[in-house]
Amino acid sequence: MLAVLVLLALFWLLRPAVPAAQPLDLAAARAQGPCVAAPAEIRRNHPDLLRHQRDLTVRDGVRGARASLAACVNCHATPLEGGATPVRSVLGGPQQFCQGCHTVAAVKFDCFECHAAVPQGPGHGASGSVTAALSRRTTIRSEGAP
Amino acid sequence: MTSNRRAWLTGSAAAALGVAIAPGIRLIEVAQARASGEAASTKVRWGLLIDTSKCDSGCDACVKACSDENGLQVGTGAAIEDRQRPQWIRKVMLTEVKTGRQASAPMMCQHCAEPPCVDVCPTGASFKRADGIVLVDRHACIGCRYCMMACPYKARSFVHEPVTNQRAQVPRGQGCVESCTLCVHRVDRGEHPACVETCAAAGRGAILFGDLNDANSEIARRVRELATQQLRADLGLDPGVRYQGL
Repeated sequence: MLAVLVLLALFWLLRPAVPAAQPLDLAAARAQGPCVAAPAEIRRNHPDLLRHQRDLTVRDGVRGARASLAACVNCHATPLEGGATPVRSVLGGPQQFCQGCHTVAAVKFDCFECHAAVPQGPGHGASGSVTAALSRRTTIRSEGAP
Repeated sequence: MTSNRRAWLTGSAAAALGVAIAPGIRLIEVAQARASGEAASTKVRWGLLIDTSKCDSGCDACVKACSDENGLQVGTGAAIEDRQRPQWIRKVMLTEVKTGRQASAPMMCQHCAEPPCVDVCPTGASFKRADGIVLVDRHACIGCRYCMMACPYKARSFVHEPVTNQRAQVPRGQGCVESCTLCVHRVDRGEHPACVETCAAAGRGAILFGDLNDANSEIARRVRELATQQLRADLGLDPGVRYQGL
């Protein structure tokens, strides 16, 4: 099981480069290691991953788990165009990570009426430092979760 | 992969160290921070002890610290009346009618063991966490404000306006009721609430935070040895916030 997962992660890391749909800094993103799951799984299941996690975190106080909205934002927020100071966000235009896809799919989402759409760096949100995130991912893999 | 393995090993070593240290030596920060993935425990009961003799009526450092830590002032417009602004902690002046003696104290959610806000909530959004912290699950809050009516301490606020630029660790938005979370995001990291830290930094140290269930903690020792009281103890709600010198 572990070997399969490691292989999958390697395939994902070594996959041929594809043109990015949004101005995402691929080099910087890869430097942070693989995402919490395969892109296909995330695209299909990210609401369930986050919904499950939010109840565990809010109700039971479980911190540092695999799926975290703040961690999504920390990695995937992209620079907003036209701003005087460069601000990264997942909202604000058709090229931004969350809003872009949700506009195309015509799915209304209200996560960011309460949650921060702008990354606030290590120490804010669940993602913490890159090392912590990597450590967390490895721990989760060793437990056999996807 | 090598760096991953190293990071994981480091994490394991730190976790093992934490386990080894926690039962015997009182390294407070290590003992209080829960491990990643671990749920809050009923063995812990977080509480505050407020020493009114150290609280200055002219000081509102705790109120400002709370506002800053939780992003209460960011993104709120000018259209709203002051009395409708969300406020998680406020300063009150208590006067003894017969003698005229005055005492200043901060008031916030009292984190009751038997919280009436939880009893009346129709959706289960208002809840008490295992470690005694009373919270609002905004995912389930419909903004009916029953809990605001039920709370004898007037601890809760309703967010009337859209909120922007929230703190990443403190999600909050329009249409929900909210109140002091005892800085749950800091407590889970093993830190103390913002008001406690600021009060100590200001040289007053009027607010003490700790685990009431831990007989060796400073707060448990003080509530055992000193005359302290819960506000409206007659209601039988067993608040986790206690006052000294009222």
